[in-house]
Amino acid sequence: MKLSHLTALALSLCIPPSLSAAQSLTIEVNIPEAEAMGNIRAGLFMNADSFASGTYLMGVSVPARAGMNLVILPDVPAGTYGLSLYIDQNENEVLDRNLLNIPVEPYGFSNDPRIGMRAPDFATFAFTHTSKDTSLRVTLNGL
Amino acid sequence: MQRRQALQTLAGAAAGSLLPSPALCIARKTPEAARFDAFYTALETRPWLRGFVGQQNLHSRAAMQPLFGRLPEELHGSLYRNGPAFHDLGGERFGHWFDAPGLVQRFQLGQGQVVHTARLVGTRRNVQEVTSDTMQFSAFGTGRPDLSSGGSADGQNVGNISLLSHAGELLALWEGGSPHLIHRETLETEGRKTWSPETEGLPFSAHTRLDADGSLWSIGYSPDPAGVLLYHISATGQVEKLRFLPLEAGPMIQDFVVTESKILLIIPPFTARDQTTDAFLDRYTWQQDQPTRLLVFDKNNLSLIGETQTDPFWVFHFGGGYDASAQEIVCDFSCHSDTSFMEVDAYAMMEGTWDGHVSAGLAYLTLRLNVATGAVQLEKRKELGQVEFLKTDPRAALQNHRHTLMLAEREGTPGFGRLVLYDRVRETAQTYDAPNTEMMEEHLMVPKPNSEGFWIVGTSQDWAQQKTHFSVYEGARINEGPRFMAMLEGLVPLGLHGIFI
Repeated sequence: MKLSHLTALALSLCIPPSLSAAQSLTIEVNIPEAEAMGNIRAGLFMNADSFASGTYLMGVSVPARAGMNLVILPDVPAGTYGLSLYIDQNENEVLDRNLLNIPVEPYGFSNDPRIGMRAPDFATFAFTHTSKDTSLRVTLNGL
Repeated sequence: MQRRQALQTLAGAAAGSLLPSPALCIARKTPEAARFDAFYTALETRPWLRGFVGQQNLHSRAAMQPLFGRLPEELHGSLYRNGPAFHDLGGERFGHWFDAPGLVQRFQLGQGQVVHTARLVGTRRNVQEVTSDTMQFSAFGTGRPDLSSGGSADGQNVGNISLLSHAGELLALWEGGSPHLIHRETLETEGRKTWSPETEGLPFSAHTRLDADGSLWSIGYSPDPAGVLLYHISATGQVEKLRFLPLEAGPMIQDFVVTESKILLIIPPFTARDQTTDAFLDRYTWQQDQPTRLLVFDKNNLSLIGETQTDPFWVFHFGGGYDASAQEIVCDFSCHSDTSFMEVDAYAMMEGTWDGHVSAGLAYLTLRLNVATGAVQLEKRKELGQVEFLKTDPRAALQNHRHTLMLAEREGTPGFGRLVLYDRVRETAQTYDAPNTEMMEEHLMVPKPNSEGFWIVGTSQDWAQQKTHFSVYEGARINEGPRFMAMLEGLVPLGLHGIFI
């Protein structure tokens, strides 16, 4: 193991997430005019299991406006998370899918992972939120 | 507006933000940039590849120059064609003939004249890529880790294969995702077509079949989840029936057969094995040791009523199909020995290495299937040669059609240079050979009003003179050659399929 890896491990042991300060998480998402209807619904997931089961740590729903939208989650404890969001255009509070289970409303993930035929692995959209405010930009898929 | 003009406008608006960083300037050439260089170098010694030069104009309109003959007075309407066209973006070149953003063309007949109009099929992906002149998305045969998958099938939709006129709408068809609405006069794209919420964004074939009552049948193939969709859409555009049939491996099915009572799907052993590749086509593997499967469905309820298999072959296009009896289906098609046209030649066209001939063995073939016993009879007409782009008289849909029109290769000339009209009753063929420097595109049978006769209309390209031709033939006498021809200066990229309406 390289020294840098040891250092990172030591730091993570010294500062457990539960003791760190909570700071805001700001998500930027640009919505084309033709898609700006309904609400942006975003969920913050702690790990692959919680993502698979749809159990988010924090969730937020705000009106979807044309252009750049800022979605703010206040008081997010430092830690590793994955964020997914979709535009709930018909306000039925679910990501609508077609007969083949393909989303038909715009959606996106933190880190903008490459999207194949299935939902991305949690590791590809996981990010680290430190004790400082974090800002993420999410690009919509399925437009 | 020319694409380069659009780019200048964009560059001005962005105040230099589009300029590449120094790091990008010294980056190694992408395979797509190397392909661009290779193709245009090869063009110097292989001029017949000019039909694969990338389209530049986003939109054009011009009256064609009459060369000889007169348009038949009773022949009214327009030939609309679609095909991949914007092969080059920002010095990069797509890897496969089927990849590029589509161009829809209209050859409008009227007052003895032919007016040609062409326009980019405005899918979201096409507009984004072509107006910025940058390759941004993976495609059917092109993939790279830094190219986006688009996030959904429609995210990659290039709308570049064919056209459909149904329920008062003109639609540009791809096959992986949604059709797009096209304005009949301006050719502008007016958005995605969705028949119902559950069909939104689903794969939808570029080869649909119209029924006698005006309703529409279509299919869609899906690699993951593996299976095939069957659609029945009413004459007024309502989804009547929709079924997803799961299969063990993701199939690829281009065309299918509809008779008065049944649907026949022919599923070659070309299946999706790997769902992780960047390019869609790379998922698929041809399995020479596996059979081609034939599935028969009852049209009334889309239930599977028969299944059998044959030795492996590949098929892109059928002529027609019909019920010869309550238990026997007959259809004709161009039978490919394997998928090498799609897996070898269509890449070579883009790289500049294509020799002008289809690698696979092709043959006009009639298939007879007894649904009760599963017995299959295959009758090849090898004397017709390497044939493709089969078409029949639209009045004979679902019926025992007398004629099948097709294109054939000729020895010594690249591309399809021969038009063949096969009489299925007399078992004879009429042919017309184009000049040696012409490549023919798909031709269509157009019914004559108040008559059983028909005209044949189609386009061809003289790659030596760099002219595009629109021709009309007297259906029963194609061996006499075109009775009317009009010419457009320049070559529009060789396309795929069209309709006459």
